[in-house]
Amino acid sequence: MNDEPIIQLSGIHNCFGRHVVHKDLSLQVYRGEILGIIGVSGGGKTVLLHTMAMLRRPNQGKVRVFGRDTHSLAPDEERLLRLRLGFMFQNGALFSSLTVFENVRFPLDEHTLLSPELKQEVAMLKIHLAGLETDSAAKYPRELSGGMIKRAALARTLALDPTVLFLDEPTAGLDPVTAGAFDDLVVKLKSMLDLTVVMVTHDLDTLWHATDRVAFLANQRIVAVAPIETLAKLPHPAIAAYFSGRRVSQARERAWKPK
Amino acid sequence: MPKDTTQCFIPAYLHFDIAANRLFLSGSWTSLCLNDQALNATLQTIPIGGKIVIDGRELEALDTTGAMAILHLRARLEQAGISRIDLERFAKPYQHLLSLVKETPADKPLQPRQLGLLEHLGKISLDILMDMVAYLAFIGSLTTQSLRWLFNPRRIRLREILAEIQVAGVNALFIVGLLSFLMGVVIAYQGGGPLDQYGANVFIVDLVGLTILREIAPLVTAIIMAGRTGSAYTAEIGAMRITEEVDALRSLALHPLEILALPKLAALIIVMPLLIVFADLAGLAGGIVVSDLMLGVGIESYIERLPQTFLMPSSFWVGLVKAPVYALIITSIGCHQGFQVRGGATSVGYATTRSVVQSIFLVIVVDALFSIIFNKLDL
Repeated sequence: MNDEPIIQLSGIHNCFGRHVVHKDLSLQVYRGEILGIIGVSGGGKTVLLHTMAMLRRPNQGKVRVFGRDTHSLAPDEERLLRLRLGFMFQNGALFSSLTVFENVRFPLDEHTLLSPELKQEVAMLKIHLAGLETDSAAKYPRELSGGMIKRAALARTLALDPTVLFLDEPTAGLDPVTAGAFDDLVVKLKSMLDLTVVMVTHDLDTLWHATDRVAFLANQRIVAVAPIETLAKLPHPAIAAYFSGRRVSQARERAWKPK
Repeated sequence: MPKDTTQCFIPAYLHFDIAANRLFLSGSWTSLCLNDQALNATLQTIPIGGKIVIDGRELEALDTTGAMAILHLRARLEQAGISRIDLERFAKPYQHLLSLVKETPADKPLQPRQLGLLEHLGKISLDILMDMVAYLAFIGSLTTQSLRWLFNPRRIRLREILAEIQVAGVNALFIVGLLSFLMGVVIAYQGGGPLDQYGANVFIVDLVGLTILREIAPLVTAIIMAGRTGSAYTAEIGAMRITEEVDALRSLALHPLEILALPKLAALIIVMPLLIVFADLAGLAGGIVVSDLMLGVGIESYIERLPQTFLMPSSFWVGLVKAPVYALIITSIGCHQGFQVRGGATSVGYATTRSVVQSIFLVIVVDALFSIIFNKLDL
């Protein structure tokens, strides 16, 4: 982990009309870590992720990505910066008129000068890295199961080898086995491809297994950032409320059982 | 490991050192900076035969695409007849990346099978046939659902019907009136010239009255409704299919047709005749303006003559009789195409296009049939 943060939010205000989502929020993401973002539903986690990924301009505050202020970027600079940020949307957001293979090849077609053969092989490589079989590549998104859609979305996100991967609820709606496999995949890809991962999640197993640090979002700001073991024991009322309850202790037990 | 954003400004490059027999890779071998076809030119300069070393010490950055390109390069050199190729001086993370790419299967995607000409023709014919069968089935279930309403009037959803009337009817008044008025102006203007030559100015009332009441007002209204309301029905129901809202209705033991299609049908059957009457008035008004200004047939004489003209008042009723039929065509096709949506966003677009084209087509065909029938009936 370097000292220079890869993404730096400072003094972020976000609001929709009169509804304030974030107020004077600050957060740093460091190279090579997996940062989890948690908090209650409707607390603005997805908005925070969009703000970090340059998909939403905050109403106030500074977003620095790779040390650059994203508020005043030349179009070319912005394009290059965006290409280094991969975003996996909650429902996949695969283009429904394209097959999985075409979805993954699409960014390669648009942004690279590679030969067609190389593009095809790179796209297939990403599909395999995301854990999909060859026969899934020719399928359309509507023919895929929930877990496969997540994997196909991951493959498209990886198409241009981004440096930072944003995952919005990557395991929501998956069964525990599939979700666990997806967590393992993210951890594996993170170390193999030298990624930095920022993920919003409600999945407690994911939090215990996959993350290096976890940021807790409550009362419109980040109240704590710490490894999950430390965070879960903090005395803050919102955090205590989140981590009390049976589901959490079960997840903790599972996490601490020797493998 | 890859540095930050600056790396994209250093394109991937390779050069061959003949003395050392080494192929140096330099720059960023990443998806954004790589142009593998341009690099192949350098390969032509390498002497064939013997062994060669691919040297990675000058690499600025490498990603999976770059690693894939290096493996391609190696395969190409092997094909060219170089017996031994070594990869040397690659940083540790780059070696990992290379072995990762090598281990992952890189097979070809299965291409969707292309249809032959005959097969394609057959598929299109079958699709049209199946669409027609499905449409008939849809009309059937629409009928059974409306019968349930007739026998059980408490089920009728008055609020939804009124809302649909507001959207499909009241909000369409302006555009229907304007277009019909313009059609009246055009007909009077075009027909006025020849009538004036024969001194038969007053027959402009017959001309405008007959064409507007019989044909133009119903047709203009139907075409606007098909383009404005029918397409909206298709898009609405199509989007609800994609978000599984239609299935949600079914799971709540409600018939989607009863909730989604019947209020629309009822609303359009009520609204269509009213809109046609409104279009009649607007069209006649357009005729009056031109007659008054150009042909010297004033409002009083126009209105006085109108009831006595040729085929009056049957023309008015002939135009009005078509209304419920057009309403049925537009709602049933609009809703049917909406329920046919499968898959994604593009499907909604296709369905909406088909809905508008089919309803306008059918409206005109039915209009022609009506003309023949009324002719036979001497109306």
